[in-house]
Amino acid sequence: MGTILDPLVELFNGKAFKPHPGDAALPLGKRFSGQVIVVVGGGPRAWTQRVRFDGQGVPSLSGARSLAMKRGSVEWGQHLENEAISTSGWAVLLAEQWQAAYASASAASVGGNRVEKMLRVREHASQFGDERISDDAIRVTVDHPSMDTSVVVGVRATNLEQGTRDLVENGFHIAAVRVAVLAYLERHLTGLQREQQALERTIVVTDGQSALIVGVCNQAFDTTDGGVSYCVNRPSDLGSHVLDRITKPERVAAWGGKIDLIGPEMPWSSETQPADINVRQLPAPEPALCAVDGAVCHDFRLDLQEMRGALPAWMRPAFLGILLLVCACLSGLAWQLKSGLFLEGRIGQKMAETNMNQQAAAAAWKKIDGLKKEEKRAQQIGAWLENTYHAQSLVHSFLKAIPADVALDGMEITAAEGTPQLKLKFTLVGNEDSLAIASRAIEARLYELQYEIAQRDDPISAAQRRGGVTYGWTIIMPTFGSS
Amino acid sequence: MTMPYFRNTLLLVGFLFAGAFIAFLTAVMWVGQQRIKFADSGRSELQARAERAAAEGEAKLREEQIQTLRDFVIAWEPGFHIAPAKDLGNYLRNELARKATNHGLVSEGAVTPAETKNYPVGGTTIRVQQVSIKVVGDSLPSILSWLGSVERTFAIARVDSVTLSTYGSRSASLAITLLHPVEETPARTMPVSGGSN
Repeated sequence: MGTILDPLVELFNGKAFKPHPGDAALPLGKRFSGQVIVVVGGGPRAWTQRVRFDGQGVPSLSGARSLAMKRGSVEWGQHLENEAISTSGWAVLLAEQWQAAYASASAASVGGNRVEKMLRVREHASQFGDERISDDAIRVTVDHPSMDTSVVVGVRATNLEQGTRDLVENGFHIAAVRVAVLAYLERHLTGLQREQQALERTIVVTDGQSALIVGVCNQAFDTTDGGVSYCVNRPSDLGSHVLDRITKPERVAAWGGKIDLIGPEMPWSSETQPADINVRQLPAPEPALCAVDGAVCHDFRLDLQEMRGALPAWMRPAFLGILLLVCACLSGLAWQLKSGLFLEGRIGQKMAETNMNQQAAAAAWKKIDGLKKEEKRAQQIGAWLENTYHAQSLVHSFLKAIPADVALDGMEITAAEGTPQLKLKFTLVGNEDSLAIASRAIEARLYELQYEIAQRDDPISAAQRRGGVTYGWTIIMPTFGSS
Repeated sequence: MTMPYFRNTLLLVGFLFAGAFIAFLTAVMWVGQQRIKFADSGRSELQARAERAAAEGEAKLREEQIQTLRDFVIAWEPGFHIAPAKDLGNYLRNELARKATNHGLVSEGAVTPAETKNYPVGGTTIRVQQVSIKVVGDSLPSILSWLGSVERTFAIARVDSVTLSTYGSRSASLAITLLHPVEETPARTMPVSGGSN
């Protein structure tokens, strides 16, 4: 998760758009613009010096150099802790006890960027030095401005471990590990190249305790044995030591006696300096400022690695814009979800109401069906009753209507299927007048009972029937409820 | 080195943006569909409400209108349930014979067809059980009284035919064919008793 979360945090806090403080590929001025770092001098009597970078990355001393203290002492540890808290917490360590040699191959021939070149030099150390540099040394090179040659400087890894551990344990991060004289040399060569001056004078760089002699002949590094050498000695003896080396006749012959001396002035007296030696004393740079100079690139850090670079500045507003869009989308999403869920609830309510209404409607229709059945049943019963009549009443009334002088031989009432009609057939016996009276009486009686006579068949005479006359009438029942 | 270090994070941010955007668009479309569904459900609800109101209105109207008919049915319906349909023929036959005996008449074997029949009436049909019986007696009033008793007991029965024959002044016979509706729905009341005479 660190591979995603750490960059994400840097994107949010804006560090992603600034150079990484530990990026060896960038000058310190770019890495720490606007901040204060601490340069720590190595050696038994260590010191610290604050350096402030302005907004353009130009360094300047910030405060006085602290007094030299014994490394490893409690006092030194407390001092480092305070400095780490008071500053950015990043330090440049100036390493001591270095070794130097000439290399016939230049680091420039190694492909890749500057950090990759340094890592390649460390990986193939034998190619860039000789046996005079101890095997466990960490090596860096300073290339000739134009020739494919280098000066190789090594610092023992154990010494670096001690120095860096001392700082890390007291709260510092290591911004770079440098050698003072190599920083002088590198800055000097860069200055010559920037001013397009040829390399014509042998270079002697010193920090007062050690000296690096880089012989130059024919505008190139002196590749002969001893062409590049170094010496470490007491400050009082360092001058004579260096003088011995540069005044050897073969060196004077090869180098032409022209020397550029960079660093504190050597304690040479006019008596000891040979007349054929032309020593040009260049201004002694402040070690702390030189160590953080933008022209100085070398770095002896044990954990040297290529760090992530800064993202282009335009990506910051783009990233913030995307974040805003994401926030807007998420806000919109939340709003839409809220609206959708609200609608979901309303839809559920509507559907429940719809179901309730549909069920109520279905119940009502079912009730209507039941009512229709009741209605139909009532119509059936009504129709049935309309087609019924009271037979006893009809027969009794019929019999009572017959006069005493007329006899009934028989009667028959037959209902017509599906109609309120009755077929009334009866046979009366009597004289002709009596039969006529009886017939009218029966007729009148039927009318009294609300029956209607729809049809009269011709009476069948007595001649056709023995002893009587048969009548055949079609009568219609009274309307239901009328009687 | 710059981009590889931030690549996964930038990809994550990109995916996050794409995911959020797609989720937002999906939510917008979902809400759009929800709005359509809401409108549809509103229309359905209105339609169902109108259908309910119409149905309930019609039911109420019919309920009010049918009250008289219902009273009529309640008054007459028990007559349909004097006996179960399968037993109606026997029941009628026995009742008619019993009544004849009670009236001092001689009945000549009542006849009932094995099957009921549909009888057309008033544009519809009604299922009826037919029974025929002939009674003979010395007294015409007894015969008429028997007929009245039958009609009172089986109030909704229809006398399909009546044949009265007299034999001088001493005896007469009455043959009737009776049609009695068969109950088509379960009986709601207990069978009506045959009466005392």
